[in-house]
Amino acid sequence: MRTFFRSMKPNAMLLSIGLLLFSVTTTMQSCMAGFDQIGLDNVTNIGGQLTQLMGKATEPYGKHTDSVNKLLSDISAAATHAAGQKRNAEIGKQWQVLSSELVTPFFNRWKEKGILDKDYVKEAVGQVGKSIDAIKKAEMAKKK
Amino acid sequence: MPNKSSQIKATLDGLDNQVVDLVSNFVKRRRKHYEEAAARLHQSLKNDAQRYAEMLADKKINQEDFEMLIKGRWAQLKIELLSELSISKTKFEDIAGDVLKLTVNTLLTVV
Repeated sequence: MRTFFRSMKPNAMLLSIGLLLFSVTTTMQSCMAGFDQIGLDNVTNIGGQLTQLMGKATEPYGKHTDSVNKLLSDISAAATHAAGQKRNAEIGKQWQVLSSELVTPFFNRWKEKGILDKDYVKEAVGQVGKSIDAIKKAEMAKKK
Repeated sequence: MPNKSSQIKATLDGLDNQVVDLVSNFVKRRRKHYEEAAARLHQSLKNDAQRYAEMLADKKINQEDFEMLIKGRWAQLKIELLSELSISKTKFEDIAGDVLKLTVNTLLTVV
């Protein structure tokens, strides 16, 4: 290899360095988590609807069954989208935790009890709101 | 031309210290950031847990509500920590980009 480089003319060597740098730059960019408009739209849209619907848990669950099912389906789709993006494992995991450890237990409890107490609902909505903000922050930190 | 090659090599060698400085400054900055973030998240967790306990004591919520809120708060903490992790990766990619930019710009001035 050393002999190969020694045999190269300076211009050829500079060209090789240029090509090497170009390939490193291109490879680095392909490894970076790129800005994901769909991901940002998902967290913005679902976040607003979710906290609004959870706030209605002081009303009978039966009145909101369809909305709950629709939102659970949207969250599942958003989690699948996030998990399918390159170098996006943390955001994928955030959606998974949000769905399985916050939202689903809340809706299950609402369904089981019929209505939930306002003080509990207020705190649970706050937890989900802050979790949504954290996901949004991670999405927005990605470079456009 | 051999002069040019040795000049390029010397210039690239001269970048070593600057690259080390760039990376170590970044690590110092991020370490401070993480210490502050951890302290902030922990303080917020303590405040919330205390509030839930007071609500339980005041009978504003029942035992089951309390347990659900504690589990939920733990999930919220996980999501917040994952956010910090994701952002740190983005920042690390920034510093890698800066190192590359420094190398390219330095080379261009010589060439």
